Amino acid sequence: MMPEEIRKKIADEAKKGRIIIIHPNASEKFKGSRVSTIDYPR
Amino acid sequence: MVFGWMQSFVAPFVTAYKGMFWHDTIEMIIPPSDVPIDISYIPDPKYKSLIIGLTFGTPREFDISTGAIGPEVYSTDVGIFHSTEGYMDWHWDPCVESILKTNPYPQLLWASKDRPYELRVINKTGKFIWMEITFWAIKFPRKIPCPIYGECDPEDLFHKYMSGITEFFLAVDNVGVEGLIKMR
Repeated sequence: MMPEEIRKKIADEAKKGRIIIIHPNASEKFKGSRVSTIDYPR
Repeated sequence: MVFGWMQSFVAPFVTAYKGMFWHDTIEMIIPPSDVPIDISYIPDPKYKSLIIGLTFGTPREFDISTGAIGPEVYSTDVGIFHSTEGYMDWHWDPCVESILKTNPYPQLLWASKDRPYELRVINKTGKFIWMEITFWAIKFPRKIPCPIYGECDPEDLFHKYMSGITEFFLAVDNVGVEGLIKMR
């Protein structure tokens, strides 16, 4: 079950037309001007 | 998962130079967009990584208001161009069965912070799409000790190693089996 704060962040970023990448170290590994990362450690 | 084509010649290099097998599995939420979205993937900024394969998961519809993942989407309106400079030319992988069911999707290329793995994502379905991808990799320190060449960039050493294999077999072809027997 995805935590509510992460679901909300996905919705906010997706509405801006940004791709969202979710991974424990997403911010370290994925870059781009229309890329939003969520470091989700599980 | 089988990488049979790799085991014969790549595995000795990995074993000798203490390559570390690992993978990154990511979830992506892809918005509908009239223009591509570019992503640079750096497997591990502290290492050089030999990417040996990709596994594409099946894309599905995604409801951003609830976070619910919906029905599968097989369509040429969603997919990924990808490239890595010097190793893999830009090409289009639509989310269709012939791509998504080729797993693992074989690769043999080096990526690092100096040469990221590039992705260009397309989604013209008009829907938000959820998709997962696994990148299979072997990572090496940026410098590794070699008894012949000293401290080496693992990518450079790998090219020497693979060239050596090719040259060995060409030499065998050149002298023939009888020539090899005479060398004993």
